[in-house]
Amino acid sequence: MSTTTAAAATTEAAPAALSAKGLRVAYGDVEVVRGVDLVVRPGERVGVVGESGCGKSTVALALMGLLAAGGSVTGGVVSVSGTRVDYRDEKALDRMRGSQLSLVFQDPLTSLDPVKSIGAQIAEALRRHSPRTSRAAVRARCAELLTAVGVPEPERRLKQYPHEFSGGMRQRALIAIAVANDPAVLIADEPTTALDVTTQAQVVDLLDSLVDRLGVAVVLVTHDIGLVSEFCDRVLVMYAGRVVEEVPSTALFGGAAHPYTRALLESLPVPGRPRGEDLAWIPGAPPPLAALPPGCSFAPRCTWAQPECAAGTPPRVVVPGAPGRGAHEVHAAECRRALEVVTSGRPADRQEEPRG
Amino acid sequence: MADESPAPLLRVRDLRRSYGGPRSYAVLDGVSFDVRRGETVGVVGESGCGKSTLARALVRLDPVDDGSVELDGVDLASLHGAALRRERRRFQMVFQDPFGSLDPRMTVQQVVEQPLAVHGTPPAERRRLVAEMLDDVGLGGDFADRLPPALSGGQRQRVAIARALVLRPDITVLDEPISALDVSVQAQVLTLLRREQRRLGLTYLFITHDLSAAEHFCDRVMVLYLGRVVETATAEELFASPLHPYSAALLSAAPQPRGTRQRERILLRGEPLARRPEVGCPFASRCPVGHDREVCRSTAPALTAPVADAPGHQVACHFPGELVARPVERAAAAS
Repeated sequence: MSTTTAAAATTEAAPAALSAKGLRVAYGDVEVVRGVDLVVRPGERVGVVGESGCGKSTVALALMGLLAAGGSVTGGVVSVSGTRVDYRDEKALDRMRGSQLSLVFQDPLTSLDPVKSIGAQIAEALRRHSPRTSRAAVRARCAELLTAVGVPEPERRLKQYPHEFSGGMRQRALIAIAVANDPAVLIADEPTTALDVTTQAQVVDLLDSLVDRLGVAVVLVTHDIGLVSEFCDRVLVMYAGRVVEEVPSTALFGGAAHPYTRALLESLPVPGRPRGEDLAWIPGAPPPLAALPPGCSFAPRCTWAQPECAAGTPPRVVVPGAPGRGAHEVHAAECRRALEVVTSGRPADRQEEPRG
Repeated sequence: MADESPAPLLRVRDLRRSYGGPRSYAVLDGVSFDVRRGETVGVVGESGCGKSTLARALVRLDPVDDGSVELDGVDLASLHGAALRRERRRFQMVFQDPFGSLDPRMTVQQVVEQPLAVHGTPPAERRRLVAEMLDDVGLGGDFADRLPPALSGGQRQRVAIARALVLRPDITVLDEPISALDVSVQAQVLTLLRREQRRLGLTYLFITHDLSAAEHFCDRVMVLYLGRVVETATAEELFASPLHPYSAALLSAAPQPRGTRQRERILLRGEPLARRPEVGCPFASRCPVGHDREVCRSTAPALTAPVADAPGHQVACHFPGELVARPVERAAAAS
């Protein structure tokens, strides 16, 4: 299953900033990530979206080599800027974290050390990868970083402690730490979920400007399909440990090819939808990962399902792109009826589909 | 319009609630509004605006310092003991966290039955009402015997809704009822709430930070900022033409699927304040319109209705309607 993107990979010239092929993660006997392909090119914004328990955060942690006890990478190849990552080599992982791959977590309060000043925490990140830098140079760079992430009065702020920062400012400080060593890829796991809407807009704006200014690629992991589709160039939709659809953001709304993606979008109250109209929802609940149904794991909840959906693994169907779309802007879905789903147009038509 | 309608079901006047001893701070600073029978009023705002304090004060989980809350003309603040308990069945609440708000050792049947027992419904009648209610929220069959830990977040929230609605309350306060749920489940819970409203003629006060949900679900929406109502209007009016700069910024900031955005984002300056300033408009320090204007810094604006043909559209701003989010330039419009 994981070899299906090999053809796409060979067409790329520069090495991907981050590439995972067939990534598998298990906690004990239960496989929670079941063969995920993720390719991020330099300076790209890629979204990973899905509901609780779909494995999106596990992918982020696995890529960083930060899985909780009991979790392990059981398969797949991960490369960062063309170099393969060996997840058994803790020293190499230490060198990689921060300098090549960085992670920003959801909760900006627990991610910072409450008894160290913000300046000390940024300096620690800098020294870790360049221990010989002079104190003056580190201090200057810390101030520069805080300015870059939009924290006013950096000299004063560096001396302050996390509790003196608001939620939005803490998230900015964390982002400053994450980009301190010019990583190729910044993985942001629900970076704005704990923040207010207006603060969320500021943080998203900051991430956007960092991509433009520093050329860092961003992987945005979130449950918010509106946010990913607006911020990201490409979106991966995860369900039950697999990427069920990979789609350019421009094609996401209105052109989704997987019934799950489509159902997620239909459940959103978006502007322009008549107020009297009831929202659609997905019946049932995601399957427990320890006892997945045979065939397509979404089939039991899918209004498009046919008898054969329960029989075999669904094929990865590539959706022909609009003319002029770049070669790397793959649109593919793991659904045997993907092409029908794309062309079905109006969501209302879906209701009349016979249930399999 | 207001003249034709009968007296409001809920009448809140100048509600104040302070926390914190001698140098106390009013989290709610003179909040007034009406809720008419059968309508859904949304309360939107960000952390610290006082929306949850408002919810708790309305259902008398917390005391209020000043002001009045009248339900059908009865001032709830004046009630105590048995009289308060009797009135309590008329207002119910659904909390945000479906994991913390249900006793893990009570079966679904017991959870939904308890309010009826408290208010003295005979046992046979209770069982019938509970079975009917659970069927309504889609938890019929053997769900009644399950314990909350065996339920998903969406199912728990439906139990919490059943518990609130089984008393047929006059007004139900929904405090962020969907924010802990996955998107696909949120839609289910909203639809359920709306269906029950139509069936039973319920009245909702819907407290949320989710603007799209408020737009979809509410008839009228009230925007709260640092303990004050800064704007109130019908959902259509508010979302089509917000008059307060804060409302305009808040509405423009919500993420929207690519291709559906109508207006450019307005990015606010600086950080939200933790406290209202002593003088002037509470929003002045972040306001793109008023941050450098003398009147905004010195005088707090009162709620007024600046649009002649929309008397229900009220805003507390010296320069209402001045900040408008620019329409998104479509690809076709680019030269």
